[in-house]
Amino acid sequence: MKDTLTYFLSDSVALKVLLGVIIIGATSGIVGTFSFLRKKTLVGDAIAHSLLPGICLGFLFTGTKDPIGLMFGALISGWISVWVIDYLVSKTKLSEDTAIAFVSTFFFAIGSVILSVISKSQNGNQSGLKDFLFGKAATMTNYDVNVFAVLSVLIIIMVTVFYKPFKMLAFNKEFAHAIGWNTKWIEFLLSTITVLTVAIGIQAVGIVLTSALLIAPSSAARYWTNNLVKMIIIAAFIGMFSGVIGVIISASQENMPTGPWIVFVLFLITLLTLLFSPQKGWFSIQKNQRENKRKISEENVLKIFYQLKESKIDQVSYSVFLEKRMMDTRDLSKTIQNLIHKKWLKKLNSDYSLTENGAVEASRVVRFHRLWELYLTKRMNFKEDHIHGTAETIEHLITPEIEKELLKELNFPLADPHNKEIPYE
Amino acid sequence: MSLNDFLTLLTAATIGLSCAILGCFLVLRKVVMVGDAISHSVLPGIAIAYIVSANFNSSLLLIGAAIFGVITTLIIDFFHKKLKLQEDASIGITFTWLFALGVIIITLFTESNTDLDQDCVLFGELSSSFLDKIIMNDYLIGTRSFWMIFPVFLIIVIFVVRGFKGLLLISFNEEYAKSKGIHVSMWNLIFMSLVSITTVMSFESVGAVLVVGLLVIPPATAYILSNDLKKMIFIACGLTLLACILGFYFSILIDVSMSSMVIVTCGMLFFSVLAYEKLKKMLKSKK
Amino acid sequence: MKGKSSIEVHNLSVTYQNVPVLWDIDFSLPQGQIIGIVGPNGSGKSTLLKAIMDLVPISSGFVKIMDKSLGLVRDLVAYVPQRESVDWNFPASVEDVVMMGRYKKNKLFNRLTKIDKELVQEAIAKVKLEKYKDRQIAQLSGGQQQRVFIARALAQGADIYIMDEPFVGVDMATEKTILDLLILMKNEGKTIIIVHHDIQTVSNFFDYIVLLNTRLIAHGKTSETLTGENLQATYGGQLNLLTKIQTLIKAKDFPLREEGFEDK
Repeated sequence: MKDTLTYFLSDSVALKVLLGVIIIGATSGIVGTFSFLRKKTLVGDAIAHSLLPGICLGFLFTGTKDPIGLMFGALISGWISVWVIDYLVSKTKLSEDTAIAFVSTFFFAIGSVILSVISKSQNGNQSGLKDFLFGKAATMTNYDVNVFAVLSVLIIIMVTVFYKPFKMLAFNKEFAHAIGWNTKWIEFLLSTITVLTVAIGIQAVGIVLTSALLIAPSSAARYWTNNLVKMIIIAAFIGMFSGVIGVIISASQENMPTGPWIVFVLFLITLLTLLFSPQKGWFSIQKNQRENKRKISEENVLKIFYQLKESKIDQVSYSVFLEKRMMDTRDLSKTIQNLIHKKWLKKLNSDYSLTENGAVEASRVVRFHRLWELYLTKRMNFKEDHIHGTAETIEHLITPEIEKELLKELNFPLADPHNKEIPYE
Repeated sequence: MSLNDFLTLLTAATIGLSCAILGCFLVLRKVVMVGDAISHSVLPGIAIAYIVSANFNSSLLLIGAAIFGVITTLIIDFFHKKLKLQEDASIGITFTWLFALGVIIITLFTESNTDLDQDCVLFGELSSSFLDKIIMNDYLIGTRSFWMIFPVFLIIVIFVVRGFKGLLLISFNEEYAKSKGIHVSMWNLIFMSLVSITTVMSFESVGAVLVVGLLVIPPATAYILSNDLKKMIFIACGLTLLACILGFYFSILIDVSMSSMVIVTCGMLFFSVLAYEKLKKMLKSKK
Repeated sequence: MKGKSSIEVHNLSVTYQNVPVLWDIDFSLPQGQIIGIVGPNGSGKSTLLKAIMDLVPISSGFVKIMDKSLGLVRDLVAYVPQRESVDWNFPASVEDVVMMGRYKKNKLFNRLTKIDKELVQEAIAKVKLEKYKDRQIAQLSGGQQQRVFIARALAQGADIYIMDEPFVGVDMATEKTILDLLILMKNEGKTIIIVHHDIQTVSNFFDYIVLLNTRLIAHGKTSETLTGENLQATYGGQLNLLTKIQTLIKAKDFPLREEGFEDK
């Protein structure tokens, strides 16, 4: 690993490659965010496939692999592909997924026909064209990187200048149209930027995998923030980071493809984000649910103690408690441990009883339960025998503000529908 | 037509017909992109099958490879339904990752000059399929690629004929099908397995990208032309046969790869049909 | 027959993407009547139908149809989904769609019999679409499309018909055809349950109504239930506090019902 690092830092060619994937990763991350928010990431896949004929024709006309000529061809066939998809969706009964798959395979087939014509008519010179199929990050030249850098700066400037219209388009196209934006033009601009981004993206990871550069960074970024600017920045960083790691991995062994490794890293980052991100991640949602459950158990136990106290039983043993309320014994003993730890319950010999703080907490839960039962009968016309179940849950949810409102709406009631006293502190 | 030409066309037609029949339901159910994802995601399965058996002859292993296609639909569902990622991104992330995995496996475990080279992954080569003839008791009984796809074709035909009602119900309205007690997710699983097996079996001949063309273009053309599901399937098959024959001759004419040329022909047929329909409408409105 | 209930809903709660859309719904419906489930948009009417048809997961409670669970009496219940729930460009004719009514779970692989085909023709005749039976469904008007759906349900030969907004976007002629048909069906002893949002027409259409707005407001004979007070409760907007609780439940990912914790 250290060898690889020193290799990269000492070798100017390797540095160029790194610079190249950093530029490509960042640009794709930024532009991909808009595709993601418009739910049009798979159009990016179609564009990538559709660039092949343009690139081949660009080569046929210029006769060289000069990236500017190829890029020009790519831009034109990319535009056409976007237009054809739009046309098929709006003017025929084909659905969007059909249109996307149609355009990507049809254009790709045309490209591969031209490719086989080229490979038969000329020799040697065309070999570089095939690099577009799987990417050629490892063999990028200085000139390539310079062209990418210029394009990338151009794209970033465009995104900055047209940030507001793009945001509007991603957020709500109908609304943008209604308030007088020329959405056609904005869409054209955004498609152009997307096509350019894809065109430089396929140099790094190839036609089939480029859509990952657009999709993965923005998908992951979405799980870290709700703010668009932050999302764009995070996506750009994820793009860059994956590019660098992918290049390092592939350089560690001979004949290792760069593009697939970049995509592999991107996938891992996205998967980990979706699982572990602090707010929307799978695990935090699970944890949240576990905490909800723990809170429910605790409050339920407190409530039972309160009800026992109401019928003049202050202390109760484990087994007597279980007679009063069915509960999973493991869950119960854990909950009682938690409550003792919080100093809401205390243990005397083999009996448990509420502490002073515990009694306050318990009366809060009971108050919420009874208030909500009253609310259900008064405002929601529930029959008395139907209110208990819902109240069982809602009692754990009620916040101080909602309590205030409940009290105001019910005019500080003294008893619940079953004529039990509502406890106040 | 020489014998070799005939054998090539026969293979192409069987692959094309299998794809056309399945494709009609992909188009109607609006899950074409899932089919696209499957065709890319079977690559690691194929790579593993290839490495384990050291050659392509083990068809059983290849059927195992099709499991990756089914796994793809499960992973997409996992991302979309459990992790709550939007659907297009779930599809995109899943298939690019599995495809990348496939390429990595190929480069890690195979020599650089194997049959399973990267070109084949993308394009496949129909015109070389006649090379691998199977001869029994001095009788030529077809090519290996034909015998790989033909049983799959038969299964598809039987499945669609026997299960037509079920397929019609889940394609027209999944919710209604569920209200009738039909196990929609099981039907979907069987259907996607067939798509997966088909893409695996036609992989050598047409490759991962172009097989999608066979799945989507003829059915899309037939969808525009027809008002009846059965007719749509037949038209899609007819168009596929036509495209195979025309594509075959075009590819000889300008000396290019046949699999690509077949797809290009399919596309040209699509646009001809589109133009014809437009013209018909224009003439009608003038009257 | 009358007096027995067609559908019983017990303590039914449903959450959709963590938001509770139905709270503890509890009612039972009579047989042989035209019943309206009425409430504003977003009040959970369609969800209630889907819960009855086992199309959405239920958080708590259960549904009984003719005293049995749905799986046992599926062929007796015909579901008519909303018209917008399908892509009408689908390559099928009127006859094809109505024929689906005769498809049965256990006979999916059998051929349709002559009787099946006769029933289909009968159903098409009942909704007055004989002239259009070979027409592709995209080439029908909205009202005609709705009638195709009803014909499909009729072809099934069920006892209970559950229809999701059949009067939306239909012309006057269709409305009349459907209404006449419903009365005819009622006279044959069928039960028809209809989700409806247009309050103007309620008293003309229904014998019995269920007023719904995420919670059950009232249910009973139309004449007795359609009071100003009930309507105010149904259409007077969401309860402020209830909305807040709903938001909290979504934000905190709270379960609507506790598990493994029962009172004795």
